[in-house]
Amino acid sequence: MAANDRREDERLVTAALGGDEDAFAQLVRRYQRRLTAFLSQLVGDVELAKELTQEAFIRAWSALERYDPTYRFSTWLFRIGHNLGIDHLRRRRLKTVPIVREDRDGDEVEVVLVDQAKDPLGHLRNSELAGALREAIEALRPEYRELVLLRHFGGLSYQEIADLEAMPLGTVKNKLFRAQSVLRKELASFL
Amino acid sequence: MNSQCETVRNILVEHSGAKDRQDPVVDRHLEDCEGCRRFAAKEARLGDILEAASPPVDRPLQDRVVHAVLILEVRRRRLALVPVAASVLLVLAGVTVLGGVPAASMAAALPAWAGSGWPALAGMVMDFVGALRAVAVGLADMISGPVVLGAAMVVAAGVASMILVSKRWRRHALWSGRS
Repeated sequence: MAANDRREDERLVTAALGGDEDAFAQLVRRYQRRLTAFLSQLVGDVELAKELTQEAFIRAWSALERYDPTYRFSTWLFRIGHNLGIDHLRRRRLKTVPIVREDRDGDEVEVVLVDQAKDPLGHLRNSELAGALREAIEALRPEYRELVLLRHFGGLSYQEIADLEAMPLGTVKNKLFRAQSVLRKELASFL
Repeated sequence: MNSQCETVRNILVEHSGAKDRQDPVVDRHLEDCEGCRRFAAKEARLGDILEAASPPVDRPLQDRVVHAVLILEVRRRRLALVPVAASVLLVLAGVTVLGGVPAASMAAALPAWAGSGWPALAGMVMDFVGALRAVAVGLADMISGPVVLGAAMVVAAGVASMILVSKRWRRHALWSGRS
């Protein structure tokens, strides 16, 4: 994210703190798509992601006075959204029993049942590509997967991801480079 | 692949292929390196696929969020007045019991222009407080030290809560003044 974007965020947050609801509406317009895209992939359900997006913005508004301006607004907002998503996944894990099957090597793998109406990639016209992309993202190691989601669906810069994950910038670069290699390999027929 | 290829490919991954990248060193390298050109093309294509995989902007969702925030803000503003009113009432009640509020006659001593609007309201409040004070004075014969101590504690609690409220407002003002 460019320095100009960060300054604009700061201006909008300051105005919102002064009671300017239009300023907060602008922040919503700036981040809604990216936050929903990230959460859709994180929880695997676009409708749920919309609810979580709304909740994240409401929490951000309620806690705006406690927001520390030394951090980027984007990082703070995504942290709120991320925590909401993770909390939801934890609750869901307690309530469900995964369906497993054996893969070619005889290892157990969880079966992911895709509800088309809630599929985060359901808007893609090329269903073959959507399926391949879903599998490619699923194939990533969890630590890589989260970084890919933040980078490509959340649209965060490497520095923002490093701040959010409390990780050195070099580590973020290394992990994303490796993650991209996996994605290129998995999606080779589409590249 | 040499070390320069590695450096260039790291840059390409960071910029999703060729998009929004302005680096003459990378451009020169790409002119001479067929492998890195292919890599750049694949990265750009992967970037496009991932970009297209994000759902489109959802205006109804944005409107819902803004509407929810507006409702929240109206409630918050109403609730913000509660601690202020409670603080003022606590101080007034404590001071009244202690007998420290000016008599109601003070309202009558106000100039003529003070007969309407906020000054009039202030006069009414003073009248009310004066009446409370009269009751307190009447009770004073019957009450003793512990009651006076209690009233003093009520004043202290009122002042403390007023300080807390003002600190919260000052913090907000400081943040707003920052640029």
